[in-house]
Amino acid sequence: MMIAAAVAAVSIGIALFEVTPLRRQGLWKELWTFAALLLLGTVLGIARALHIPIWNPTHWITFAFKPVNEWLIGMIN
Amino acid sequence: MMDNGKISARQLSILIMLYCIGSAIIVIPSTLASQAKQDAWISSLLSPAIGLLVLQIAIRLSNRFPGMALTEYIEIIFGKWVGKIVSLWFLATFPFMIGFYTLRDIGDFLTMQIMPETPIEAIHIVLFGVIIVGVRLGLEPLARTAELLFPWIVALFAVLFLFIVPQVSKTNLLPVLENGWKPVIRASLPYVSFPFLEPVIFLMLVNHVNRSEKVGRALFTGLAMAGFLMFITTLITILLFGGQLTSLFMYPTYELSKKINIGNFLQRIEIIMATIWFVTIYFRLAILFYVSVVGFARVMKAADYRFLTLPLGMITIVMSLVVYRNVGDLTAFIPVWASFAYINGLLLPALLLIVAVIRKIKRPLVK
Amino acid sequence: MRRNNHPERQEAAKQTAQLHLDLHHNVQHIRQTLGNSGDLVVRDLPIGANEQLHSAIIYTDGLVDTTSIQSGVIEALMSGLDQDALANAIRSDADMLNYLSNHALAVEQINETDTFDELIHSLLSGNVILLLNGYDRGLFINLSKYEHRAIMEPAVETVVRGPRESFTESLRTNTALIRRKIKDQNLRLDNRMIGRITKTDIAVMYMKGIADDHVVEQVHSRLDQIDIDGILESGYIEAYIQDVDFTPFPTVYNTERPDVIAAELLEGKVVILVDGTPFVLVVPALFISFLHSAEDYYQRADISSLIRILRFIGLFISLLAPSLYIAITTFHQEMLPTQLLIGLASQREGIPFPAFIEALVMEIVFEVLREAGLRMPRAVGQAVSIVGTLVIGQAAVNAGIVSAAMVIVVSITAIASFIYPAINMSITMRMLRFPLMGLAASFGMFGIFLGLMVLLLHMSSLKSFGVPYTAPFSPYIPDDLKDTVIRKPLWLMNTRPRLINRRNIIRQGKTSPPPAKPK
Repeated sequence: MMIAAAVAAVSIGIALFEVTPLRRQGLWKELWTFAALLLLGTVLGIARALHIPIWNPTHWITFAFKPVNEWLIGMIN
Repeated sequence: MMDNGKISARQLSILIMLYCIGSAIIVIPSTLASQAKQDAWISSLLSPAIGLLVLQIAIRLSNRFPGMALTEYIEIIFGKWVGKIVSLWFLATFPFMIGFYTLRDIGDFLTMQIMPETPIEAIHIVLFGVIIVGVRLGLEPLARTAELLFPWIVALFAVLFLFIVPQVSKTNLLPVLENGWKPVIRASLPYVSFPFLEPVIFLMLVNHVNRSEKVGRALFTGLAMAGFLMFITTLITILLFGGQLTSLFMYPTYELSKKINIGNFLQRIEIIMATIWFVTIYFRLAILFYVSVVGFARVMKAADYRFLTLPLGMITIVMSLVVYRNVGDLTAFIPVWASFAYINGLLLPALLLIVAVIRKIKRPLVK
Repeated sequence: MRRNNHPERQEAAKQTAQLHLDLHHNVQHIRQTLGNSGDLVVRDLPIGANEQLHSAIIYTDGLVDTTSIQSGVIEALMSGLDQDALANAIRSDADMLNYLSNHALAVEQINETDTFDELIHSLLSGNVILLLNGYDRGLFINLSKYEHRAIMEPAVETVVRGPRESFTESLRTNTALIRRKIKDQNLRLDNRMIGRITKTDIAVMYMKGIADDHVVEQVHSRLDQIDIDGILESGYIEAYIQDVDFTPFPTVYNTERPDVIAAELLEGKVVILVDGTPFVLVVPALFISFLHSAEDYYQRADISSLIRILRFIGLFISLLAPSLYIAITTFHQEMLPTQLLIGLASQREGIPFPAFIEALVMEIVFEVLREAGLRMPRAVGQAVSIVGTLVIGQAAVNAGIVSAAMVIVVSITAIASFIYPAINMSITMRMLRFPLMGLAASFGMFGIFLGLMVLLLHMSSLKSFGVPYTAPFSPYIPDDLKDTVIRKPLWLMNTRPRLINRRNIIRQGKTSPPPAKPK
């Protein structure tokens, strides 16, 4: 719980730090991208802090490539 | 403002050398030895050689578009929207994702060998904080720092080799090719993918080099030097420990540096040697992250890249903790990754090159 | 003499800035503007045998050479005039002010003006003013002379071998000292005045043809932008012209030695002299400049190279010693030889604090002692600061608060930090020690590595007037390395630093022979 709160606090800190110059320069596209990515990061962080399982690219790649891999190894052997 | 830093060809080769040594140096002798046993040193020669061949494709591609970054000519070759999607895929699955694993590499190393009582999250956060500082400062300071540190790295390597060589025994190399060539080749393949298929990433930095005709040569030199250093490291590791023992270590080069003994007085200075890997992994991570962030900003046509560093950094840190639970998972993943790397590392540049040649696309005369 | 365009001037223009024809009015105006200042001297001077001309001489007591005034001005006007020529000139309605300045005044610098501002400024700068009744212009004559410190040994940058002159607070003396070293026609000197109220004289000097014109331009434009009420020391200027504010590293070098300045001028750097301080600024300044001492060039090459290497080691010690101690004793005990380890462990046994707190406390105590030692009366100062540290250290060890090894580490660090020839770099290193200590306590050697990386990255991003701060190490310029951590013998130093000036690189001919071999 504490850690999740810490993650949220850090996110807010980051937002405060970056948003003001972006707003001042009127960079709206960048601001939205920033917000989206920050949100993603925060969600992931909180999920991790609460031990919620997160999608894992390792699993996807393994899933997709296991057969390819076996075939390649078969070829070499 | 986007980064307008200029780096020299020499700095580029140093960067790529540090990059390739990166996290491979700590583990490679053991991954090679696990398949090839005492012939691991032969594998360690094969892989860079294959990597250098693949590099030729990347260099050809880059020379068709001198002074341009990869994402720029992806869009030219594939058209704007398809190009953007391809660029994003490339950036997300290559530099960005490799970053997760690399960060985790050094985190694991530190918590396992040096500071077991420190939580790995703390290490990741602090280290990546410094990476973010470096990336925000720009490519020029990063390259300059690499140039500054380069002599020290070489010196430390020299110390390592000098003080181990008296302790080696040549018989550990025998019997040579005990099981024939197959295991040697089998061992060298994952080593090709990681790290030698990755120089495609460096094609993103081409537009920062102030004499773009020297890029190919710089990449070649850097890769070759990295391969050479790792070859010597592997060779000495086998010479000292023998094939069987090497394959059992998780971090064989670290074990190697534990053996340094200067006059029975200066011993167990492996942490100083570990500074080598700190530096190389730092630059590996820094380049991976820099390319991801700047590439993403380019694709998005953003005015600056710096504001992306913190959110993307956050994602990287969290994902690095997520990607595998323990080292066993990692070991199972390595061969799978080896195949995956060919997509971005070999197929993509080859495809780009073929399409470019067929459609006779070269760099537009008006830049 | 340049004038700065400031809002005040517009206000002054609202008043009557022009002189009047009436002498009495002018004198009154000057007196009032200066508030009837006590050191203002006004002398009415009728000129001519029949007192045809009424004039007044005004000067500030203490700023002028009264002897010259008597002989060059008063005597010249009272008795040195040819009365017939004077009468002729008056009858023919000539410009008497011109006449007097051309024929009477036996002085060197005469200028004319018609504004009060210029007149009063010159008055306050040590000029003598001559006003003539019936003319709305006035003359001012530079006869300044004031008490100043004689040329003595440098206070902070002493050498064993080399000249012992140092700059003083007088701008003219300082420029003269430089001219004595460089007697070349290409030595340029640009004057300006900065500071709305203090109106301090500043001089910019450089070698035309060697110094980079862009840098000179940059210096001038940055100086132009300074808008402050007073410049009291060159440090003020340094703060305004440096490239980046947010850095602990100095990017402007300063020295009080004329020979150092001359050497820097020869290398193509630009120097800035400020009236009122003996410390002269040099730009551009690279990191390596702060590790060089003048003496390196006067002693033999081999000795100098070794001493420079020693300084470099001192740099590392003063920055890293406490952090290394903390890191090794906390995280990496295996590095110490066994006997040392046992000794250290037994020392640390009774200590209630972890190594980090120990080190922090000792370092802070030492810094306090050092600062206090600077302010103490001379007789007491030296003794207290050195003895004080050791005694306090010893007492602390005996009391069981810190370990003896810690006292040694702190003392070595402190002494190593005195090895810098340049004080501003030494202050930087003193400051940076503390965060490194914190990192070492949290993450051991890895923490030190992280701290050093941040420092290196930061240094690599600095530029001093367009020249990268970490040159010539990176970007790598092998030829310039001959004068960094080592110093090659003089007959090998053929070229000037490449990044400071692009052309005029050859310093000496290739025909300079190496020393002849003995037969």
